[in-house]
Amino acid sequence: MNTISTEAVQGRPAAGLGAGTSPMGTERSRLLGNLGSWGLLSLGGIIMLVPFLWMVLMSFKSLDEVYTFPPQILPNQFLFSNYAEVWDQVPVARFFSNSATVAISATLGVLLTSSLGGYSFARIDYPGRNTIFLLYLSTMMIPFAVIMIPLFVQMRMLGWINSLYALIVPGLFSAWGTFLMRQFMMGIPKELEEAAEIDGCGHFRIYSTIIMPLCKPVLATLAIFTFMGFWNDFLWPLIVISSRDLKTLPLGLAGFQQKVALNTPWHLVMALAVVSVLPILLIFIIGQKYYVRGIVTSGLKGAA
Amino acid sequence: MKERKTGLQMTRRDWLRFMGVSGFAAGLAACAPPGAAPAEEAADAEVLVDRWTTGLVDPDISGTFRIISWEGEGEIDKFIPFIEGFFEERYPNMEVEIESGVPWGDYWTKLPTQIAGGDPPDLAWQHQSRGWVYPDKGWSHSMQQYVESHPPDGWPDDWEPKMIEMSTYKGELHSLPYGWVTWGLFVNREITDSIQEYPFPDDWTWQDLREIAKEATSGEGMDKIYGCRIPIFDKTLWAVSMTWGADLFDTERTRGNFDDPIVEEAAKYLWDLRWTDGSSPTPGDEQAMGLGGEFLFASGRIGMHMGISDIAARLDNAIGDKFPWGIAPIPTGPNGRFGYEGGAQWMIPAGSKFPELAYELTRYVLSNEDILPTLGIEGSLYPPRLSLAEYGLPKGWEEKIPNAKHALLTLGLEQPTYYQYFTKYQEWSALWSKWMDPIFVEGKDNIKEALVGLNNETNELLGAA
Repeated sequence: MNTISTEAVQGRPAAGLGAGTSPMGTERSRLLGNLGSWGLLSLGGIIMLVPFLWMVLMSFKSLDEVYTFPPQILPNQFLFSNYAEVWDQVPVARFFSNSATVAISATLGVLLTSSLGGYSFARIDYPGRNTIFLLYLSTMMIPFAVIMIPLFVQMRMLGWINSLYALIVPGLFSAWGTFLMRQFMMGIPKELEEAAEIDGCGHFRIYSTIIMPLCKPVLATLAIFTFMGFWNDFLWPLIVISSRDLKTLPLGLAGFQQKVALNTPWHLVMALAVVSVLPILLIFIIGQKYYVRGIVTSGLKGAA
Repeated sequence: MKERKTGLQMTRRDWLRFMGVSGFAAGLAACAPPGAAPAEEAADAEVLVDRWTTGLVDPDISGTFRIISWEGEGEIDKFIPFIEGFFEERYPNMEVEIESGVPWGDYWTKLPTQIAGGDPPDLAWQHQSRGWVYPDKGWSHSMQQYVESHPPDGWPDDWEPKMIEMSTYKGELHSLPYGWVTWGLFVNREITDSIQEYPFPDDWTWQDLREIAKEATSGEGMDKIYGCRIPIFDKTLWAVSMTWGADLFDTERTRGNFDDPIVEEAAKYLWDLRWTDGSSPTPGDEQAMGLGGEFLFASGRIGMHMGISDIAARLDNAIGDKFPWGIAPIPTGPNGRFGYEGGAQWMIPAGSKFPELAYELTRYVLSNEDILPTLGIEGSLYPPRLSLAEYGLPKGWEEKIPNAKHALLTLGLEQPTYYQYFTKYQEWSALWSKWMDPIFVEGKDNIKEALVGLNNETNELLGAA
């Protein structure tokens, strides 16, 4: 298990670096260092947050206020009715349900296939294992634009064009997810598995009862990344989906933005954008603890 | 055991008899006087529902007819009742699926993927910038035979000839125009009336525009009023160069002409508007103001805005009563005026499952004088038939915006030379950005050097080097 030394946390100076300085001076330099770090982090945070806040504030403005020059930050009056209006104009529930169907199904699928693949590459010895893993990993290097047409042809042959299958199935196998799971699983002590083997467990039992419960952090990380990827995916759904009834939120958002050229109702577009971001925000908040731990542990222990 | 002969089996002798009779009949038919083929007459008699059907499509045909467009709902809504009405009345077993609002950039990824992947829509919105690209790559279905056998109403005399020219590749018609536009200068009269009396004279020049723009420019920073806003891209450079007597390419689009001194002069002129006079906002200025294009003009900070005719109705909504405005023609010069822009079409993608039906629908919607006025009024694109073109200008404009029709439509059509896109235009656009963005976006002044560089790489791309 990873432990972080209390000395490091308390900012004890390394030998030689702070030699000869008084405790007061050390305290001051530590404070200044912290202030600098916090200042930089706050600046970064603000830069990241401003567009998001702008989107939220715009979603409550009237169209006239959106085009006011110079721009004003707060709306004169918070128009919650924008959300009702966008709900009236666009089948938000339908887009939402399509996005949710795709993102949840694909995420569950990716968790299953990636964990199985990761287990195989991390815990089972067989000839050519590393070569197969490298080959699988190398598929990450192929840009999507290259496989777009062959994938489209495949979907057509399967009769899945203009269906949600075309959005879910091709994404069920993730080289990146497998890589992440493998790296994490390689850090789990071999002794646990050996003890289970002595007790008569086979690979699937070890995978499901020993390894998977220990993989919660990395599963959470993978789930969040995968969900976000599918939730926000635009190009592939745009290419294979034609029916309005099957459109996902990003497609609906783009279509709504196109609705009236020059007279784009930006306040309503922003309201729809806020709605589309909410599930991701919620999932991130719920899984944040695991998410951070998953990234740290899979990253640090990967080389083990 | 001897095989029993059934009534349906044919002996060798029967076969020879049949062939002899058939050959005789065929010979007689070949000797018949020219005219409508009996088979076609029969088909017409049996299949034609009204004058908008061609007889090429079985009225009982069933399936899903798919249409794709980049236009958003607001624009495409005006087509939908006619499209649906066409199918309901003539092909009730067909379902129609219209996909609209595909973002412009992504449209040109989606459509080729669908065509290459073997599942194209049956009818697609086409733009003149791809007018040669799709036929050249075999991605569009020729309409030539259909037009010859079943011409649209008013064909060809009442159709805007340049739009027909644009829709034709190597002698074959590959699309049918649904609308076209011209360029104009949208004028904020609150700014320009004290400098130039409205309406602007027909013979005003690019130099006049520069002088008026300089005089109309005032203020600094966020309060600055710009005398003009001339968007700079290859078409603008082309329009100014052509006015002064030089094209950017040779006629066949096989060689660049960017090293021509007139082209250089035109580029310098456009550069001066932005960087010497400061009378036209730079992209940086627009970014700082947070407004661009028509919005900037509608905000009241631009004296003269160069734009295409289809923004007129939308501008009207955006400006409201904020200021009086008008429309001036594109400036002229020694070689004439180049204020004609072009338009968009409907095409049948290669691999369409219902090409004949797609043509019938196209012919019905785009040549029907009962439909075209509606398409024109709501979208402000001029309908493709010349006799109905004025419906492209909003109703009541003669009183509201004096000179609008004359400046946009009449003068636009006076010299309808258009910027001819070519098959490698999309690849070439990257060269334009590479060489011209530093000049027109960043303000670097090595114009001649950049034009020569652009010319060399253009010739390399077009195989003329």
